[in-house]
Amino acid sequence: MERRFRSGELLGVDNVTTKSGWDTPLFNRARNTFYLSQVVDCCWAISGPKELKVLDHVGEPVLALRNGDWIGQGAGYAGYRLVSGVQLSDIAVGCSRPLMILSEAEPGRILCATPEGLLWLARGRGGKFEVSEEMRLYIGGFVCSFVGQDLNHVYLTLSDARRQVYLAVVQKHS
Amino acid sequence: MAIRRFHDVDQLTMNSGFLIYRVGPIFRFWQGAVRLILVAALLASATPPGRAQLLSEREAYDEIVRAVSEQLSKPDRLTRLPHNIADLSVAPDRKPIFTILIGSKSEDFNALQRKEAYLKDQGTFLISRFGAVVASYEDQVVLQGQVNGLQHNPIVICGPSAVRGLDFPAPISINRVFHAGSDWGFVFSDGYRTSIKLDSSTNFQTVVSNRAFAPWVAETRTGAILVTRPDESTGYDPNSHLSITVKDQRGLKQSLFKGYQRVGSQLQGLLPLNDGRFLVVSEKLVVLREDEPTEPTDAEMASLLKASEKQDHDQFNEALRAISIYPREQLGVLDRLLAASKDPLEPFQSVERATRYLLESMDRTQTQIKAATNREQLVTTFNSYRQTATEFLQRIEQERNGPLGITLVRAVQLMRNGWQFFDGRWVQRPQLIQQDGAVAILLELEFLNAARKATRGVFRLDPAGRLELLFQHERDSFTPPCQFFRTPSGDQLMFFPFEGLARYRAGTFEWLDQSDEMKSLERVVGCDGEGRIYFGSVSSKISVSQVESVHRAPSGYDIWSTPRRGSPDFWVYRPAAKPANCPIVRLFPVEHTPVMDSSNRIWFCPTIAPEFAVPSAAGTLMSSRPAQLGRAELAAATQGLTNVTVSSRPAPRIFGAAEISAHLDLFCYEQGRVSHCLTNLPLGTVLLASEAGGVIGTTQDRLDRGAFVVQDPESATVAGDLHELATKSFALMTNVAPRQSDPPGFVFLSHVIHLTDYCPSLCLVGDRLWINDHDKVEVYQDGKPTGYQMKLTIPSRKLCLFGPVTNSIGDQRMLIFAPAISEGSSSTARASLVWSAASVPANCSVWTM
Repeated sequence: MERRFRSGELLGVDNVTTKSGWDTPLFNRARNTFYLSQVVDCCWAISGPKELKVLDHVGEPVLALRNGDWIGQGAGYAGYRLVSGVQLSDIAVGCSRPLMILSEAEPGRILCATPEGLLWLARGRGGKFEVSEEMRLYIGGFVCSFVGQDLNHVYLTLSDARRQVYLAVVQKHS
Repeated sequence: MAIRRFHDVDQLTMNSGFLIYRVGPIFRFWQGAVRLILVAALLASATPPGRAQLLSEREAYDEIVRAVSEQLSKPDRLTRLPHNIADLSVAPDRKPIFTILIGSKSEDFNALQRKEAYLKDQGTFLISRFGAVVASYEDQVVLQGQVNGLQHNPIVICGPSAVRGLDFPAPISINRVFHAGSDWGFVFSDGYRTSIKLDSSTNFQTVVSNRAFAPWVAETRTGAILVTRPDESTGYDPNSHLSITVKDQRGLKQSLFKGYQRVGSQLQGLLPLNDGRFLVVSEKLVVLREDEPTEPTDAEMASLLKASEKQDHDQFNEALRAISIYPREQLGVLDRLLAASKDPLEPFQSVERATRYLLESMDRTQTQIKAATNREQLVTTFNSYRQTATEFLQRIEQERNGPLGITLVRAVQLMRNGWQFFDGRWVQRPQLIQQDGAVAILLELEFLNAARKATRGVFRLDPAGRLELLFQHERDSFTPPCQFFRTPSGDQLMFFPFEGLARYRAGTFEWLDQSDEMKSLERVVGCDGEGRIYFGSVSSKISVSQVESVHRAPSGYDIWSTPRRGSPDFWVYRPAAKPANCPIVRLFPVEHTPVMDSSNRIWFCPTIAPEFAVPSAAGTLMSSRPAQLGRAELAAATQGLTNVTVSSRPAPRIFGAAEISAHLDLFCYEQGRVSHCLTNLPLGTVLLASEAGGVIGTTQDRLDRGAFVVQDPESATVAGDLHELATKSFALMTNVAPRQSDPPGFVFLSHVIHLTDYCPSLCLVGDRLWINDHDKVEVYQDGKPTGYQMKLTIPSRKLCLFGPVTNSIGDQRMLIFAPAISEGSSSTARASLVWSAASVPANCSVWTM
C-alpha cells in the first residue's frame, strides 16, 4: 500500500554544496524541478527528496521558460546556454552582445537588458534564439530588473551611474 | 558526506552538446548504459549530423570581430561596443586597438611570428588577442599579456613590421612602460623591490626599496621625469630622500630632497621651473626645497604678523604663500596668531549680523511680495532696501580687510581649513588633468573668486610658476577631474565625467553634449581618425565593490584587475550624429523592487519621502526630464493626506531605544496617475504581489518590523508581520496569498546594501496558508498555527520557501531552502533542502505510519 502524508509533515532533508551562499534555487514549473548552482558550470537538478542529479556544463540557472526549457549563464563562449531536455545550445547573440536575461515576458519571447536598453529574443529559423526586437532607451542608466508590462508600457527598474535606482515607465511604441 | 550520498543517484554530464548520464554505481551501470544508448539513438535521428549547437572559440572570436565592425559603422550617436573588449586604446596614427581576450589564456610570444599575430589589422581598426596596449609612441605599440605560467605579464613591442618580445623572468612583473626619448623604460617589481630601467644608452637603473612608494613617471617627448625614493628604508623615515631624475637630450640629472614622504605619496604632477626648482602637485602646490621644513618657522610667523600690523600688502602675501604651503595638520601653531589678533570692527558685529539676517529673511519673503496686490510699490521699496543693506555689508567687509584684502583672522582660518595662497589666489584640492611633459600642467582647483565664494576652475600652471585661470565650472568636489583631448580637426575638447562633453576654443568654454546618455560615461579613452570618440563607463552590471586599480593602462582601465572592479563598458560616440528621443516617460526614484499586480497597477516605495529631491550630483538621472516629472508627481501626491483607510492600528515602530524617524511611503502608479497609499513604513520594506490584486508588504529588517495588505488604493490592513496578519485576518490572507511561492532570490537593487538577506514569501495550498517571514516558516489553518515551525531545526537565517511542487502521483510538496550560516572564506557554501507534504489529492485517504 502506498504511503501518503499529512499536510505539513516532513518528508526528508538533503544537504548539498552550492557555489555561494547567495544562490537560491530556480523553479521550473513545467517540469516541477528546481535547479541550483553547485560549482562553476554545474548545477543540481532537484525534483524531490533524494531525487538529485548533477548537470555538467550548463552554467548557473537563471531562467525557466514556460515550455520547460531553461537557460544557464556562464558556460561556453556565448554567455548563455539553453537546456532543452537533454540538448544544449548556445545563445549566440550573447557572444558579442552583453545581455542580462530578465524574464520570459511573453511565451517564447525572452526579455533581456543590454547596456543600451532592452532586447527581445525569440526562436528563429532552426529553432535558435535570435534578436526579434530591440528598444534603445537613450538614457544614462542600466536596466536592473523587469517589473511588468501592459499594452502600451514596459515597467523596469533602472540604475544610474551613482547607483540610484528608479522605476522606469517605458513607452512601447514611441 | 552529502557528495558521497549523491554518488548513488544518477548524474548527468555533457558531451558534444547533449546531456548524458555519468556512470553511477556498478549495479546501475546496465540500466544507465541502455538509457544512454536509447537517448543517443533518439537524438541522433532527430538532429541533423554536423549541426553545431555550441560555439567554438574560433566562432566566438569571429562573431566578436563582426560585431565590432557592425557597431563602428552604425549611425547612432552613442553605441555600446561588444562586452568581450577587455581594453581599448587609440594608437598615435588614430586607429583604435581593441583587446579581445577569450579562451583559457592569451597566446604566448613567439619570436618567429610577425606583427600580424599580435596586432591584426581589420581595416578601420586593429585587434590584439595577446594583451592590452600599455604604451604607444609614434609607430610603436607595446602590448602586455596575461600571467602565463612562470612568466608574469609578458611584454611585446610591435614596430611597423617587426616585433620584439621582452622576457622578464618570474617573479618580476611590469608595472609601467613609458617612452624615455630614445627607447622604452620600465617600472618593474620582483615582489619586494620596485625598480626602474631606462634604455641601454643611459644604463640607468634605480632601485626603490620603499614598497609604500610607487615610482612616478612622466613622458616629456624628449625624455622622461622620474620620481623615486631610492633609500633603503621602508615606511616614513624623515631622513629618507625623494629623488627627481630628469632625462633629456643632454643626459641624466638627478636631484635629492630630504623628507617629503607625504608629498611623494600623493604626487599627481611635477613641473621643472625656469629657475631650476621643481613644483610638485600633490595635496597642495609645493616648490621643493633641499630639506623639507616640518612646520612654519618662528621667522615665517613673525613675518606674517609684522606684515599684518604694518598693512604691507606684498610682504603679507609673500608670508601667506610661504606658510600656507604646509599641510593643515602642521598649522596648529597659527592658533597663536588667532589668539593675538582682534577684529578691528568688533563693535559693529551685532549690526552686521542683524543686517545679514534681514537680507536672508527678505529673500524668503520675496515670493509673497510678488503675489501681493500693491506689488509694484512693495517691490520698489524691497529692492531699494536690499541694495542699501548689501552695500552696507560690502563696506563693512572692505573696512575690515583694509589694504591687505583679507584680515589675518580670516587668512588663518582659511589656512587651517586647507586653503593655500598661491600666485595671488586662495586655492585648494588640486586635481591633475594633464601633465604636458615638462612644458605645463593643467589642473582643476577649488578657488575663492572675487566675491570670496568657493568655486571650481581649470587652470594652467607654467614653468614660471604662474597659475592662469582658463575657465570656471561649478561642480561637486567628489567628481573626477575633466579630461582634455584633441580631435583630428584640431578641436580641443574636454570631457567632464558623468556630466558632459565641452569645447575650449579661444578662451571660451562651450558645452557640446550634456544629454542623459552622457551621464553614465566616466572616462574618455581617445578619438580616432574619423572623429569617433571612445568612452568607458561604469560597468552595467551592478557591482557591490568598486575597487580602483593603482596601475592603470593608458585607457584608464587596468584589465588585469577587472574581476575586482567589474569590467568597464566601452562606447563609441559620434559628435555629428543627432540625438534620439528617449522612450522613458517617467522615472521614480525607488528604494526597493516595485511589483505589478493582476490589475496592472505598479506598487512602489520611493527613495526616502517626502524630499525626493536628492541633490543632483554628477551622474544621477534625478535632473533628467522623466525623473523631474516623476518627482513632481510624487511630491503632488504627497501633499494631500493618504486616501487609505487603515483597518487596524499599526504597531509603534521602535528601533532599539529610539523611535525611528526615517520611513518609506507606499505609492501606486495606475494609468499615468500616482496615488499615495501608506506612510511610515520601515526602511526594509519588501513588496509581494497579491493574488487578488493589490500588494502585500513585509520587511527584511528583523528589528524594524511591519506588514500590510493593500487590496486597492483605498483600504489597508496592517500588523507587525505576516504571521500576525495570518492569525488576525486569516480570511483576508487566504484571499490575497499567491498560489505559488517562488521568491526571486537576493536582489541588490538599492545602493543601500541590505545585511538582512532572506526572502519573505507566502502561498496558499488547499486550505493551508504557508508563511515564511522573519526566520520563521509556519503553516496556518483556520487562522491558527499548526506547529510546523516546531519541526524545523535548521541553523539558518536565510530561509526561502518554494512550492507547491507536484510529483508524478499528484502529491504537492513544499521545499524550504536553507543556506548554512557562513563558515569563513570557503569558495563554496552548503545548504539544506527540507521537503514537506503540502496537500494530497482530495480523493485520497491519508495514511500515517
